[in-house]
Amino acid sequence: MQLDAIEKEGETVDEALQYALEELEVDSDSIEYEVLEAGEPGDEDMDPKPAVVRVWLKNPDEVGLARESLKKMLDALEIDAQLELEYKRSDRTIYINILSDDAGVLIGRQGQTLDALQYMLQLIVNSKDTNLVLDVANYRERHKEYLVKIAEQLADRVLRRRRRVTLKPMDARDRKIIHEAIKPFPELSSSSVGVEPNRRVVISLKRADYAERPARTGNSGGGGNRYRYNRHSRYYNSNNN
Amino acid sequence: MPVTDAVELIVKMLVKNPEEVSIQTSTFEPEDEEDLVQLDISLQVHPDDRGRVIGRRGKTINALRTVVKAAAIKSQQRINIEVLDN
Repeated sequence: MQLDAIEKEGETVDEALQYALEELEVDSDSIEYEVLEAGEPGDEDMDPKPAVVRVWLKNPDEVGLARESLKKMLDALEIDAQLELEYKRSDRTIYINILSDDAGVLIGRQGQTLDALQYMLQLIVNSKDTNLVLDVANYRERHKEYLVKIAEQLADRVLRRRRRVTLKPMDARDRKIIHEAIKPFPELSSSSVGVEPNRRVVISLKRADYAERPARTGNSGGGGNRYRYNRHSRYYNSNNN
Repeated sequence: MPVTDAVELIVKMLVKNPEEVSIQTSTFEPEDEEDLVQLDISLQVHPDDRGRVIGRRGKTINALRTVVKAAAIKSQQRINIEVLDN
């Protein structure tokens, strides 16, 4: 946090601090500082020495609270872990990455345990203007890369086969990652269907492209078939035979 | 009992009146030897804190259950957590 420190000089320490506050555009509650030179007023024999201070923005109290609370919880649960903690001022978010031999246990099935732990930590920190993201062994990042890869593969398949695909049920955050991954494809659109917790993303061709598609034989399926992930083989059989 | 201590610590961090958190536990030995020991944990908290511990649609208590169960995998127990009416 001292990396983005600035140094200011003035005739007195107070004056130097004042300049620093003006430059950072904050008030004195949100900074910490160190006096590098106390400064001396001049007299006949000596030129005055300026006061120099080093000033940096203080991390909000929530950061310490989050770290201590999480440490206590993991201790009580008898899980050995190291914490990597970073506070990003730009989006006012505390990022905590847990490194542990029990990473698998902490992540849980589809990140369930990780989400539960994050939710409880958010409640404990209970802050309106600070966000908190908890991760274990960079699981969230890896999971996102995996989802983007899946989305791109399926996008390719939709473009080749001219048929929409329905993915398996996902939570809102994962669905958003899929939607974002589909956006760069100008021919495709994505939407969500179904009701939580069974809401699924559908990747489909934009309407204009559907017109070019050969008409289906018989009932278009709808209902039950629509949600079946591996329905393609069925369609192909019934259409081709 | 580490699991119980962990539950107590976490609940105390969540509530406004930590001094009024009390916990009772009971264990059941399985009839079938293959089965796991069952540990029931009952929480009693200040009436104003009940909602805080349970959360909207039980979200908080379920999160607590998920975390505690995950951490207790090693100790080979089946764990139930409930919040008592008062």
